[in-house]
Amino acid sequence: MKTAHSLGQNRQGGESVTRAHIDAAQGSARLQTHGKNPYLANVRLERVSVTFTRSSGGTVTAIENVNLTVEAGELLCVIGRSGEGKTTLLNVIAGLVPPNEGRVLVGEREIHGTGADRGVIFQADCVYPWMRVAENVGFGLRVKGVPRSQRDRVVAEYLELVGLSHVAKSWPRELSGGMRSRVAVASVFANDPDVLLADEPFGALDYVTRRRLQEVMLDLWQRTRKTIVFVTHDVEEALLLGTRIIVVGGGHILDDHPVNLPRPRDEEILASREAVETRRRLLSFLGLEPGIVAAAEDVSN
Amino acid sequence: MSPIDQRDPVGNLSLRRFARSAVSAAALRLEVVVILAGAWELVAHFAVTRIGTSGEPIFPSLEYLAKNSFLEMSNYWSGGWGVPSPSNGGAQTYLGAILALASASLASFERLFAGIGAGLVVGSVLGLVVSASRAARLMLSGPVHFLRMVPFLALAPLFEVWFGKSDIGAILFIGYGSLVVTFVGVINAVGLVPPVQLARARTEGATRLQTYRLVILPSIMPAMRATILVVIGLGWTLDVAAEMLGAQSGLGVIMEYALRLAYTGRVMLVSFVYLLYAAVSFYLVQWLTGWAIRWHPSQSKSPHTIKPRPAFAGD
Amino acid sequence: MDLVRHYSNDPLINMFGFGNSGYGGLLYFTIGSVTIGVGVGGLLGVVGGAALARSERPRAAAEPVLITLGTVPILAVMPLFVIWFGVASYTSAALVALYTAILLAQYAMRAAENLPPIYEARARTCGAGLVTRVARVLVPGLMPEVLAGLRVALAFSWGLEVFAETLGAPSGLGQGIEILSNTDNIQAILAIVLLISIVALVADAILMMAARLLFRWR
Repeated sequence: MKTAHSLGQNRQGGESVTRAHIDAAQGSARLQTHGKNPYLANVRLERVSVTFTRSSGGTVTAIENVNLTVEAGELLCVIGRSGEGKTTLLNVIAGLVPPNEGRVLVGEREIHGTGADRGVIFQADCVYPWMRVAENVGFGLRVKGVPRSQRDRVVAEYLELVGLSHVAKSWPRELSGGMRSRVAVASVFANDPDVLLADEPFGALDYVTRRRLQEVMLDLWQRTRKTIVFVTHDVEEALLLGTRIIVVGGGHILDDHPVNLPRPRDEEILASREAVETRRRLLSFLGLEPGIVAAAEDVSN
Repeated sequence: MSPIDQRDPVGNLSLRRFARSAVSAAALRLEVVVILAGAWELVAHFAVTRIGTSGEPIFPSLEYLAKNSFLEMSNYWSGGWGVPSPSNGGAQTYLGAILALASASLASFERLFAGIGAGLVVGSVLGLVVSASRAARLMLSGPVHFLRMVPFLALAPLFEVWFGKSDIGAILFIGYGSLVVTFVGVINAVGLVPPVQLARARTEGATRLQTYRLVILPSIMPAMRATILVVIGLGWTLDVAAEMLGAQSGLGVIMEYALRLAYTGRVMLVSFVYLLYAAVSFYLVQWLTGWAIRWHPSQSKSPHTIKPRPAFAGD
Repeated sequence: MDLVRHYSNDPLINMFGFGNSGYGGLLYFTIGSVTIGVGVGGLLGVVGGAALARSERPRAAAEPVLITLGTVPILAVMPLFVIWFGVASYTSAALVALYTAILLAQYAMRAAENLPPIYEARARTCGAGLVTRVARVLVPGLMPEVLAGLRVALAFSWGLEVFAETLGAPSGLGQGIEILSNTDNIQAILAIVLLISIVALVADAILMMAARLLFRWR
């Protein structure tokens, strides 16, 4: 299993995406972005609000007047308490939920509904049980009409990257939870979206499997430099993965800070003062740590 | 279960256990058959009264059924293929009996296949269309859900009045029942597709048609298999009903003649043939459709599907 | 419609020897038959199924038999019943009872299998005798599934009963249809079919209401 260790060039201070950085990553990665301009894979939310109507009649404002810009190649982690808007934020970028107000732009173009340019790793298990592992990973490509030979090649590559080559022909029912998560990750990456959205994808897994999947995720991100928006309830996960972390609460963005910890983020780095301070701040926003009081002010304006 | 068995999760030990359980299952089946046959003979032995009109025993023994009743089936063979026809003065032969039953069965099968086939096809198409299109749903939902509440068997005389005792009437009757059950089955099945499966298809850029073909149809296969099996059971019931009301051909004709003269043995035989056909067709279709859901967790062939025994089990 | 007018007195029905009854009399017969059939059959089926499920071998033996019986058209034995019982008032009810017994035995067996043995073990350790255990643990434990089976059996029984009446019964809506099918009065036949459907709906609703009352703990 290749980890960030093998891509030694990432031990830099900041994680802001520079041209040189992208070139270096792309040069060493085996995978192409199929000639697309990586700079256009940014995400912008302009004054986005989403309200749901309850079947009993009342309305619920899931997110309100949110402004957010995600730069191309960032790995943005979104944390927050359950039911406070982070999944809705993701869904609105994915196009699964239309905004009641405001607009969402991906690559500077307004989106309307879902599209293959935004891939989603869902919280619930969505590996199709009637397709073998290889077919699952190749589903998006098949839908796009990619010819069989090319499809098989891409699928084989990604299966190897996530360590599932040996079960390519297996049925999903034969796989463990962790393996199914890997299939989901591989499928989405194989489809080569501009933006990748993940909704607590590893929540149901045990600790060890979760750590492994996080490595897989990081590895694929560093190879492909996709823009990733990763929703999680786990502060540790956010610290491990994110180039930037935002806290969502009460339908607003309460905090937005880059994470400048060097990679690979081993135990030592995660125990450093900077990491601890970041962790403390995040926890206080979640109401778990006294300190900076989580004011309900929206910092995105 | 000995501690050694428990310790060895995979390997020869569990395979042997699996094989042993398969053999004992077959032995059990044989036991059941023997016991049932024995019970039958016992009842037949004590039910010695004979029915007036036909002189047949009220509960024929298995021997009687095999020798007398079965042989008498040849009465319904109208001749041909070099086999004598008793109605024309020829002898009763086992071959005649078989031919009589076979030709009658064929007529029943034809009706059944036509009716079930048409019902399944039209019902599925309608179901898919209605689940896909709001307009169709508004139009068809009401009427079909109303029809669903009308007991099928109660409509048999109605179909008879409308279409006479014709084959087409029977086929339409069977088709109608199959259609309603299939339609409802498809609607339910499509409604049960996990939303995340549909959401995934959307986000991977699938069109409506692609979603139906690659996601919805495979996803509803297990439920549809159950629906198909129900339709087969219902189809046989409706076929029997149609034939009992008076058909021109098929096993029902034999049944009717036998019933009129109270030939208990023959009536039993025909009943048994119906039951046999229904059971065989059920298991056959179950086996054939197994391929379509070979991916399903329930189809796992692993011997590790033995449920762990709860702590207090064992009376 | 004629049905309403002739509820208590119909010349056609009188002619065929149903006495001084109209459709009402036929209706009561049908309802009565179904009630008795489902009741008796249900009881036998549940008791039998639950009893069989208690021990490994009888259950393993009975399961395939019951499942196979569940796939076959029970209607096919109606002529046999007619020979044995004649055109008696209980012939059709007997068929309904047989069907219900087989179906409910299946449901009860499955329910008893799935009942966590810990429930009964707990009752045992509290010193409860067999009768108490059956009444207070087994019956409530099986009830939800048995009720589901009862609902299915009831729904089909209406059609089964009516058709069986067409073949061999002294009264009942099925006989009403049989008589009318010899005339050309399609309207009246449709009226009876409608009546049966309504009865089926109402019966189902009553069953669901009773279930909700009995199982408020669910």
